[in-house]
Amino acid sequence: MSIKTNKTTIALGVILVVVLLGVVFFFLTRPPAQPTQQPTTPPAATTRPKLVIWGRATFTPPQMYWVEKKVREWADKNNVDVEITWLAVADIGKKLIAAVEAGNPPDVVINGHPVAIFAEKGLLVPIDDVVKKLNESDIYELKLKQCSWGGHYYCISTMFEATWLHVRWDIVEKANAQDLFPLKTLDDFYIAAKRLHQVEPGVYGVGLPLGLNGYDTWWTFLHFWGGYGGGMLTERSVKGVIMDKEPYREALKKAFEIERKIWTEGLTPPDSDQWVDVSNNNAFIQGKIAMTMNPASIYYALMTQNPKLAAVTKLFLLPVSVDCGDESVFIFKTTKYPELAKDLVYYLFADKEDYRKGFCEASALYALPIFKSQMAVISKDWKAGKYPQFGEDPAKALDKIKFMETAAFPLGERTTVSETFREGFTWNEMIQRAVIKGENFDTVIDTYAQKLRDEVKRVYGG
Amino acid sequence: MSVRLKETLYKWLYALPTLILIFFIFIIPITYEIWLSFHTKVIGGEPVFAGLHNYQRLFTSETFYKTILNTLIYSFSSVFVKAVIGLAVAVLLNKQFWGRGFLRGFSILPWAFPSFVCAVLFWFNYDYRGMFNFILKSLGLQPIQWMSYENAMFSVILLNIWHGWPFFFMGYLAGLQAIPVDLYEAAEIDGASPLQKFKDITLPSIKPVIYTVMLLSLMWTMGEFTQIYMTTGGGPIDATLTIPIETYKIAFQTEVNMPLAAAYSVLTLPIYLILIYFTLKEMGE
Repeated sequence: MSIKTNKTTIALGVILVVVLLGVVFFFLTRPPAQPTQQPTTPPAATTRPKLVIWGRATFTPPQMYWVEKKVREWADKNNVDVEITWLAVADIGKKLIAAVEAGNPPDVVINGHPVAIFAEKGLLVPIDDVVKKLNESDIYELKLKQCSWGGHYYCISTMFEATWLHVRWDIVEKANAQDLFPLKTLDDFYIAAKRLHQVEPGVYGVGLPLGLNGYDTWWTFLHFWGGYGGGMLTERSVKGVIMDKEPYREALKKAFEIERKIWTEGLTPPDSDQWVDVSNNNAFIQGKIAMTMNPASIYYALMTQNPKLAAVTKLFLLPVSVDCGDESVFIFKTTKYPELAKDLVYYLFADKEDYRKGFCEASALYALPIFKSQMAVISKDWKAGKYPQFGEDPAKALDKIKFMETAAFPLGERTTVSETFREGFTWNEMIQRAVIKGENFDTVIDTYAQKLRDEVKRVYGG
Repeated sequence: MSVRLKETLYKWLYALPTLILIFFIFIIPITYEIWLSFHTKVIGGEPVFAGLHNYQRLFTSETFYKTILNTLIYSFSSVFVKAVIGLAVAVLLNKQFWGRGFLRGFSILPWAFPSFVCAVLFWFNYDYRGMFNFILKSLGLQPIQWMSYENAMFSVILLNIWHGWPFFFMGYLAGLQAIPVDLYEAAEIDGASPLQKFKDITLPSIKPVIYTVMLLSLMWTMGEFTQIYMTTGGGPIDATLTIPIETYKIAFQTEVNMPLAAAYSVLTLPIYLILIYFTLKEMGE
């Protein structure tokens, strides 16, 4: 045997041994199967408790300041250590998933998402008692339903994030189209886009988000899909998938049609198919579009970046509207201090007036309160002229909200599949195929109904 | 103990920390990944043995083949163009002229930028009202939808070429500088044309460098994530969906399905192993 062959044999042998050792080590060190994560017993009272808190950074910094202030106040009062980490909107979901998979999730999540994916797997602490203490009947039913699974509450929604149609009122007046607003039907959306298009040279009638990688594409479309009578899921089973059955199929086709008309007629900027979430905000702030749908974060930005434009901007909800407020507070079962965590959640909302002022009003009503009592105050203030940007009473406008961004409809509850289809931009892919590429609507519907069935089967087993 | 054996043992001892690192951060995770790929698992739950289910799903999925095709188009076209540009510039900047040092330094600038910076730069360039369309309009041409379904793959390839060609340039330049000048002088005496000199002296002399650089770049380009994720996110629809992007999406976005993502990686692992093998072979290892 030559020296070279010898060396090769030795090298291969060493690699083999290392690999084998690795395999053996892996199987020896794998922990035995555990039942679903259970709350652990709190350690002896001598150790100062510590809660790890993750928050989703908000578009309006005062909300974060308020949350930080409340959490630290509570920690001081209860002699608890807290560690708060703020994560970007695009990161929090992935980081939570990774943390759960690594067996090390935070104790409490504030203003975070997704929720169903954890709640449905029994990873969260039920908080029925907290909801009751906050006076369940004072919380909007839509918001309660978004946090309820199997008859228990596992989260508290932090806000309504209504998706306002931001309208350039100066252009509306030029086009003499005041009578169109608030829009009476969903078809009026297209009519308004056409009426306002190029009234001012270079200003498009509407900014319609159609990009693959933005949540805006999805929930804007949801207005039409749901609003025209469409449906996604009626129950957590394969037979609950209804999007390709009549009359839901026709409604979905109608939703494709209205967006396709806007796209092919060039009523929206030509790069709308590449937009991300901030793109329609920028287009509106820079005066390139006459209207667009968005949470009131656009208006909040206008107040500081373009006050002149803010003064001529009016906000309305579509006749059937969508809530984007899936941000919620929830507690992981792995926490050592479930009672303390629940107390913190209660503390955040207990002073409802403080919550309204610090979290909602401070955000220029980008966030609307989940409590009816606090919406009544806002409604009263609006009538007194406090919020001139709203073209209609915000409290009344909330009645138009029938859908929620991450909830399956008409089921009305957040499900793992509705969350992942939204999070993974699967719906956006469907929208792009039909609206941008102009593929046959029926073929597109069949493809994505099958995808939904496959996923429902995988997650719920049938 | 003989001196030779002692020396060998010492060498192994020095290599031990690396081996331990490889053991813990590569061998064990990859074993876990292979093991996981034969299971199904819901988030926070325990893995359940599922045999070849994940592999069967992948082999029957159109998206899987689309991502393979996209990855091959992206990687091979990008590496080919980078290799050509890199070689041309290296040959040019191997000649003596005033300002050569500045040009050499300037040329490696794109490579010095991190991937995410390049992605952001091109994000603005590719905007419909961005720099590229501004240039086109200034030349009297029609603006282009750089990120449309039809053009997105071309656009991400262009970004990768812009970012990566200096690596080829640097590799080739080092190779060119190692060629003895006598060879060219002898060829000149024999009346060889510049093309003949390039074909018969330059190319054969730097062949090992060309292969090594190309193989390394091919591996990196196939695994490129940041640039595509930050510009198109794999879209529009599936226009730029490559293996790394789809694996990430399966793991964290579309399904939150770690075992399927593991199966995806396992299936593509042989491609990388083959590339590593050839790279090491070219390097004489």
